[in-house]
Amino acid sequence: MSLFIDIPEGKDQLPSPRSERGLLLWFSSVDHKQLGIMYLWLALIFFVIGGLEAMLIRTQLAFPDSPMMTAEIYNQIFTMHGTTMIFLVLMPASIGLGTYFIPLMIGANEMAFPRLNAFSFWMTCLGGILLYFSFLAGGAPNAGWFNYPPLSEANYSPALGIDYFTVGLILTGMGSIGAALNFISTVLTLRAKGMKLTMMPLFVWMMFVNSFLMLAAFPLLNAGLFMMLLDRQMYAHFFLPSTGGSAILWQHFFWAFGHPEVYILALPAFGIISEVIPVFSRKPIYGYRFVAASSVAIALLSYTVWAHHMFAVGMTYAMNGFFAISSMLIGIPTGLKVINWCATMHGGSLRLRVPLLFAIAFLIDFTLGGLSGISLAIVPIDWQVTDTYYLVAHVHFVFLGGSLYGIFAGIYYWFPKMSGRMLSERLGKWHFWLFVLGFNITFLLQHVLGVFGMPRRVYTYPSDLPYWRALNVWSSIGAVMMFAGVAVFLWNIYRSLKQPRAVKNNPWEAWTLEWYPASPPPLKNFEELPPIHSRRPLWDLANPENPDKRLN
Amino acid sequence: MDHFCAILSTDLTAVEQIHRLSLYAAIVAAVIFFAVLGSILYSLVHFRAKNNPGVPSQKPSNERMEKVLLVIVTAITVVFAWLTFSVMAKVQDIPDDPKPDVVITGHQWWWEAKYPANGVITANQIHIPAGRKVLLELHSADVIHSWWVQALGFKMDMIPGVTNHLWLYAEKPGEYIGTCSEFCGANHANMRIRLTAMDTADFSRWSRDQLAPAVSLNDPLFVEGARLFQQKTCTNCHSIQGVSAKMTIGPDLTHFASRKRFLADMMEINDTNLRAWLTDPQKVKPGAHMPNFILSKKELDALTYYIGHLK
Amino acid sequence: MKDKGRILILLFISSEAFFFIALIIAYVFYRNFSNATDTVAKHLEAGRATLFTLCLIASSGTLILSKRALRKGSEGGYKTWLALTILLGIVFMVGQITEYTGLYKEQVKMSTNVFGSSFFTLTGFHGLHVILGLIALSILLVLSMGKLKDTGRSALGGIDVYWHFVDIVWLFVLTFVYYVPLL
Ligand code: HEA
Ligand code: HEA
Ligand code: HEC
Ligand code: CUA
Ligand SMILES: [Cu+2]
Repeated sequence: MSLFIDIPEGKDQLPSPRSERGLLLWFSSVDHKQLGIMYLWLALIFFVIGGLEAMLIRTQLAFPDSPMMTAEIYNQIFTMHGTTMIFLVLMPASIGLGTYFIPLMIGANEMAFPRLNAFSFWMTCLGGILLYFSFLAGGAPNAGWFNYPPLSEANYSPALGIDYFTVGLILTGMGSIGAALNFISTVLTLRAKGMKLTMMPLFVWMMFVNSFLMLAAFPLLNAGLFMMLLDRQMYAHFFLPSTGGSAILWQHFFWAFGHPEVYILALPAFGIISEVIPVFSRKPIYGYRFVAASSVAIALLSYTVWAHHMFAVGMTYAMNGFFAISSMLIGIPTGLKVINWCATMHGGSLRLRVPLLFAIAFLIDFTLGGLSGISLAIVPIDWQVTDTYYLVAHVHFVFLGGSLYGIFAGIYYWFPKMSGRMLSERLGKWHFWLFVLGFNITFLLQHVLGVFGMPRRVYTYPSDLPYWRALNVWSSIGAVMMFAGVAVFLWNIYRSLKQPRAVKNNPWEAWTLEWYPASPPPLKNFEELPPIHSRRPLWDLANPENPDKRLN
Repeated sequence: MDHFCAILSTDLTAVEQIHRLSLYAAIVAAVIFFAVLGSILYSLVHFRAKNNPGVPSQKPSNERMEKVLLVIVTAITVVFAWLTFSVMAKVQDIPDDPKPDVVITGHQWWWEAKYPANGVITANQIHIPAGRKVLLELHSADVIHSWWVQALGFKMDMIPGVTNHLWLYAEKPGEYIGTCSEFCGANHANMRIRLTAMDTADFSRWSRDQLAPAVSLNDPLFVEGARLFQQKTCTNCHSIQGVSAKMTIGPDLTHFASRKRFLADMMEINDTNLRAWLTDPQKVKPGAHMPNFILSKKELDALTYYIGHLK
Repeated sequence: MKDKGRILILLFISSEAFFFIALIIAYVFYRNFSNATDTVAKHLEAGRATLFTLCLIASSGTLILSKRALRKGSEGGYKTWLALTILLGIVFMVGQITEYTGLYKEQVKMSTNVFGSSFFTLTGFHGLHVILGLIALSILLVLSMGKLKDTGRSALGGIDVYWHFVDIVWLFVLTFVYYVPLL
């Protein structure tokens, strides 16, 4: 075996992992498309793991006093479920789509810093592996995804799980910061000639804004995590009230990161939806400026709301009031977006393909989740329902109904570009209906459970409380439907990948630059670029007689 | 409008006020939700490719609609912000110099209650007078817990190093259940609350009984149990008034048998359950901070008898 | 086109700034929260710390001079000023080390109380950044001696921003840790 392997030429196809040394070419790759795809695989693998953990949760809770899991195991499972889904599914999935499509959508051939790109991916991957290694090292973390001290301190959780949690999250956090640095530099320096910032596709806009959120949010988490680690390993006293520390400071650090984080996971989905709805409604987005500007408003506001997760810790009237108002204000820019998306469909010619179906389900379920968020921002209501299944329902309506539907839509939409093959429309519809119906059964009912008093994070519950049993059983039945939906999705991907490549450059007749090169694009994305004078260069190319208004 | 302002009237209890506020929020949310849903359904019916073929107009949007809706949404937000402030002030008006009726401390995984007015100390099954507002002072001895009895008041966290206050109000005597609602480790699910509200006369009778020192019988089994309680180091953690046992690592057992349920509302107090607990605490409530003492059958008999008679 | 390296380093240090803001907030919070801090913080030697701070500030100055020399084409000036920068940085680190050993002798450690925890965490992470900067500067110096001169020069554009940043962070640390307790 020779010491050097041939680096593929720009005009070559992406190397096939099956060919000799193909896998090596992937692992050592710095190409944004390959890294994007690896991010997506990482997310998919962890989605299956996190989903199976969710199924364990729902099986355990289907009936009271279930003998399946002990409290110790259950606590590890729900902690790992939440942590996995947030840091190892939604993060890499959104960053992966960004890595793949930001350069393509702005007419660039690479990210600004290809090696930093690879570094970010491998950090995320390493963080995930460390987190899961904890299962072998004496127990997974078990203090919930926000890991409140003093419970997470060494005297109450002596097992190493939480140390793995801190180190794993610091690593993925560094990976995310790296990705954000790269996205911003790419957008600022590598846009095709003629593409002004105000002409970028909305997905790129949202990822751009999102990157600033990441840059500012993750350092706060990392600082908190380092302190936690020092507490546990070097006997520092940051979060230990018994020796002079403060349990509440962690909550401030965590949520000052945590709330921006939930928008970090939502904005990419907003971006995808802003691409999908226009293309499948066959008309340009309604109110481009509003959609773009409201993201900036959301990003700024998201730094002023963190303590709405702490209404029950006994803050002063003024603090509670401030954070209530700022949280409600976020409803305004988000509402604007919802209105714009609805208005885009209005008067269009809707092609009800799977991406649009997911986008519509997103509109409906995300609105519900957002409205339950507003109800939580009303402090007295939160005082009753915080830390119950009402909150669990909110979390899932915004994470699944929001982010995950968005990512599903994006994957159905962009899969042909990434792989050169279409996903089956028929299987896609099965996936859609099973998942969306199951989702609404599972989590709509959980609002009711919460109002009836069921606290979150319990491995069992009394059997004699009215409706609790029925609601829990149905909630679990919905989860089984989601399981079936995801299984169909996996089958759909597998089946498509077995077929030969047959997709033309632009199967959906979309208008943004990523659809200009072949599917999948060769290693060097663009040999030449179409003229760029509006937000929809490919529309102008296809309709020279009726081009969009010239913007440059 | 009358009804609307009723939310602020004083004859509603805190729970009712919050309930009414939730109702308003739910109604407004439903209106917004159905507006969004309706607009989507309308588009789905009228504008699907089948019904609206051809290329739709590509005209850039005029953004007037946005501005109108922006105003509406902002108005709703302002109204709810105002409601939030006023209800918040109503339901959580803690005096500057609070004099709590009960001081409750959360422990992994049981509740300790002290009544500063008369010095009663009890655990797990907590009693309050009905028909008047009761002020709680909340602490934690270890990790964060949260006190929540849904029917009588809302939630308040118990945080080590922090003192929080909360009003409870039970209109009628009776038993009310609640639960710890901040994740606190292995037995968070088993850290439930059972609160007994009594009318004033019953409550003062109960207080008087609780103040009495622990009973002392002459029965040999009881005496043996009392001896074992000292010998087996139970006194390192538990207190029994009138006996040299004053620790608060575990629940106060002075009037243990006067309570109906134990282990934070996990099970009923009877011989079988008590015996099971003393035989192996880790089997009954895995993780609980009470070790297994590996008692012989004779010792178990005596201890169960002793504790079971601490009326 | 635009200098993407410069954009990267500016973004990076703004991200780092948030990290240090968090650590400084923690320090200040614990100072107000418990009196453990003031019993020690008042006795820290602000004068000595100021002296070493002057070294660090001077090192920023010499770095600017070294860059200017490079722009003027003075190879020798570039190397000399760069070496001086590194030297001043090392002097600062020596100051830090003596500070630490002094505190350790008085039994003030990470595990002593919240002052120890927050003080060593804040200054320790700063020191770590100084060390990283020193390593980067040393690499520049070594490169300037060898064949890869040009690589070194283009990297200077990023590393100098970083070094000034570390310097500025220290000014905040100095203010909050050494001066504010004296007020
Ligand atoms: C994608 C993630 C995401 C998103 C987008 C949101 C969005 C919002 N969230 Fe949510 N939230 C979470 C993820 C998210 N949340 C998570 C994970 C937790 C719990 C963490 C844990 O404890 O484990 C949480 C918890 C949480 C709490 C804490 C509850 C508690 O712990 O007690 C609160 C309280 O205020 C809250 C509020 C909000 C609000 C006001 C919004 C708003 O941004 C919503 C805005 C959207 C709309 C309002 C809908 C569309 C608008 C219109 C159609 C216009 C008309 C609307 C009005 C006039 C109101 N969220
Ligand atoms: C992106 C975020 C995300 C996603 C997608 C999900 C998905 C799901 N979640 Fe999760 N959840 C969280 C984020 C998320 N969750 C968070 C943050 C928490 C809080 C954690 C905490 O308290 O700390 C939480 C907590 C949480 C709880 C509360 C636990 C508790 O408080 O005790 C419950 C209970 O029902 C639950 C259920 C589910 C279910 C049924 C799904 C389903 O949608 C899952 C569907 C997916 C599958 C079912 C996968 C199917 C897999 C296959 C088909 C593979 C088969 C093939 C092979 C093996 C090759 N979740
Ligand atoms: C190391 C401390 C410790 C010792 C020693 C100890 N206990 Fe306990 N005990 C506890 C704790 C903690 C609880 C609460 C457990 C829970 O509910 O999670 C408890 C609960 C109990 C209860 C139930 C009280 C209630 O109201 O729920 C009884 C009865 C009891 N212990 C009896 C005993 C007896 C008898 C002994 C001696 C043989 C003993 N304990 C020794 C710590 C201890
Ligand atoms: Cu105590 Cu949960
Ligand atoms: Cu939030």
